[in-house]
Amino acid sequence: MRQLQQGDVLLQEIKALPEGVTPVKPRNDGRHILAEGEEHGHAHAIKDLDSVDLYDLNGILYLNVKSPTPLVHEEHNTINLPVGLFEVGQVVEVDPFEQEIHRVRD
Amino acid sequence: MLKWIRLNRKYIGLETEMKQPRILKLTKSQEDQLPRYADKWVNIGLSTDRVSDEERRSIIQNFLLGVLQTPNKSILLLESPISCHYALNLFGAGLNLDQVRNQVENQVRNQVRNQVRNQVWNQVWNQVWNQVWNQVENQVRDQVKNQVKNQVRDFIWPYLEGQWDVFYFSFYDYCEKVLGLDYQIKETFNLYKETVKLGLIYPLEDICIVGNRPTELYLNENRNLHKNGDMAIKWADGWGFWALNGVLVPKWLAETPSEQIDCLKFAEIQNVEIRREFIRKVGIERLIKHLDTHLLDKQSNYELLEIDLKGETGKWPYLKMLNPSIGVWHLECVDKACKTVREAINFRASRLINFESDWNPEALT
Repeated sequence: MRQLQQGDVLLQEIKALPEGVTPVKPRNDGRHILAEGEEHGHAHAIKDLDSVDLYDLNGILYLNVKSPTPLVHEEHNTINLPVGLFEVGQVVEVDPFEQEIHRVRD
Repeated sequence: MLKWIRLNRKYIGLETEMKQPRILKLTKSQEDQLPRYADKWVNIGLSTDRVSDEERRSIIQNFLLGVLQTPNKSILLLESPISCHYALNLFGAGLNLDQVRNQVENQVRNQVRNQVRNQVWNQVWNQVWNQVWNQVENQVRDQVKNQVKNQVRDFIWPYLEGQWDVFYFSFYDYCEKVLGLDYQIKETFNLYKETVKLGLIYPLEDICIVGNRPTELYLNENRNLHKNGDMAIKWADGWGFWALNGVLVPKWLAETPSEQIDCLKFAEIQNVEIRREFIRKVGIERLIKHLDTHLLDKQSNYELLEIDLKGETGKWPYLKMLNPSIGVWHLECVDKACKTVREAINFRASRLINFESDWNPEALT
């Protein structure tokens, strides 16, 4: 199964969407956002809304790419998403002072 | 309209049967002017040129009269977004500010935006959109305005953004000047266009608060906000913020000379982009040299280092890796169980539910 990574966003191909997913509406600016920086507003974004459907289940995003489309970010190079179903994940790291695992914050 | 038809008759694909002729293909000359118009409007959007108070007052009075049709307001000329915000709290107390914002938005949409858009929409195409609007939007909105907005994100952001609205005007300016479109509400449009010489604009019921352009704005070669040693963007009232390579950073990181920075402070920075800029400023070689490190494993551009953070925190494994998009180094702490680069990379992807094998992406940017 294909794996793709743009910065701290991971895309793992899956065979089928899990039961119970709910559609995610695009943002007001007309984009689907897979992850967003807390501090700087940088975003992993898909602008072509006709090419993808985005779903949510318990805070996990799932992406149905219906036709190839770019995943863009202000800093990272663009990835051309291939057709397929993907689980969207985020990179984690350890805070050595708190000794906690948390998603990478940008 | 006749003038417009005459101007464009020579273009291939002109659909003369339509009421409003439609250009289907740009001429070479028109194409050549796309980057020039994008540059022109990026420069306006990032301008720090001073506009006199007299001119600012005149621009906003004309706008209030000609576009919002509410001329009888006091005008308060200020500088930075934060001073506008304070004034908004003072003069907007008791007002439903979302309602005010919506009223202004509706008026501007009805008076100008929709009318121009309706006239232009069928006559333009993605090429102009992508190469003028998007270019200006990327360089002004994404690289600078959003950083300002993030600094003041608890504020109420106005509908009228002054100089940050340049991407809108870039598109319609190109259509007017290069393609010869003759807007029916040209006078109103031009009054609106003049607001790019202003900062944020908050028209309230009795008063209009008007900000100003910044006085200093520094960019790196990639046109990201950047200034080592001082604020990257600053307004005349002293407000501003620090940024390195487009990343907003604390004052100490921007202003402390790199050789005076305590290398151990990198571990205290939770935000990875700020930590990355810390490493870029200090230098990965100096950082590794000054830290108590031990190489656990190495694979390609990845190294797994054990770093002694001293005191009670002790030793932790860090994955040192090169950002493939911008070629700068990251150090990210991983679980103590990780003894190899492979284990560290897999740990970083371990929150994926459907992750069953090694994390080895076919595309990594």
